[in-house]
Amino acid sequence: MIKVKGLYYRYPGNQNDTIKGLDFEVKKGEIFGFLGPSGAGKSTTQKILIGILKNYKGSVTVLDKEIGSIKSDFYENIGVAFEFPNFYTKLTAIENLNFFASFYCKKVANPYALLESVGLASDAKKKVADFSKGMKMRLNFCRALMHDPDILFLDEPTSGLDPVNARILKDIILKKQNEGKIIFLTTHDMHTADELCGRVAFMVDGKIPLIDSPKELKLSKGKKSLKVEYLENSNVQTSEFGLDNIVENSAFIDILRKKEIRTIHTQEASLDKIFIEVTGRRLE
Amino acid sequence: MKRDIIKKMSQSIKNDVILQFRSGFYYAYMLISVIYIVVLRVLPENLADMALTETIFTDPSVFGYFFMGALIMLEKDQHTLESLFVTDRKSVV
Repeated sequence: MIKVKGLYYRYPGNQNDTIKGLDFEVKKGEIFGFLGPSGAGKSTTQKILIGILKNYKGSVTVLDKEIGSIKSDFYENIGVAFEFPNFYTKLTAIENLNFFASFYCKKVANPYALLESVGLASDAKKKVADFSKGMKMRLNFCRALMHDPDILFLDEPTSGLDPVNARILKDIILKKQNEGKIIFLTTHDMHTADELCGRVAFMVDGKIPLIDSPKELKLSKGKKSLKVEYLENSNVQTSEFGLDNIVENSAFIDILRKKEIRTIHTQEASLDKIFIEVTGRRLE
Repeated sequence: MKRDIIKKMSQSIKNDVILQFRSGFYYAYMLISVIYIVVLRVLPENLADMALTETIFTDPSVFGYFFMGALIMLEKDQHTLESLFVTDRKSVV
């Protein structure tokens, strides 16, 4: 479990706090999305949660340990995939995984099986210098998973990936959630957050103005209506109907019965729009 | 448990040797050794004796600093220090 209470952080030499009073909890089996534009303080918060930045104010407990007093063995249960996938470029993929695996006391997963799961089995003996950004991202993901940690910190895990490989990674993330792992997902990709996260926190200027589930947000902030696009005399027409008692709306039923329907969409708000509405900022 | 740690440590050393070899550390030190040999050969005999003694005593530290410095530079250049930081390195090494 991750518990953060009254967290403040100021970088040495800075006049102002970068993190200004965060409070949140992440429970077992939850995918928690941390969303915000560049410079909002997402990476700083993640660095505090994984123990890289120590001189914070407030309380941060991860797996029941105050993060300021953790020892190296804490990392046996933490997997981190940083935003930039950095490896020893003159070593092969398998050599890199073996290199990092040797720093864990617990048994690690078979590196070939891990590479296979992300479609890199045939590149196992290729030097990382010859890898594309997407291949490095997948290898980065394997490195975070190899010691089967209880908590995964994933920073923009699908960045630079084609849709097929992004899907593979998302499925693995969902599988890990089903195994009861905590997944802390930092991203500015609303679609990934919407698809994966049970709850999302919006972060702007070092603060979290809102935490809720994407589904609830979309319903509460959106219009309770439905838009139908249909063909009438070879022209495309659109009509919008309220969702309340829609089965008794004769105009709507009439269109369904008599017209050729092209699309039907409920008008819930998108996460991007909600983010702008709540924070007044765009996710870039 | 102790046997596991020894196994992990030897694995870690083996990985380090592979990394150093691939990164050209051994070739670089061979070049330094050749320079040592050439300098010692061309020095007059009375100076060469003194220089040889100096070399024998200072080389272990030069050797150590060379590898430490080169590894730190390599890890900084390839930005792998953060990834190493989030491992259980102290329990193993």
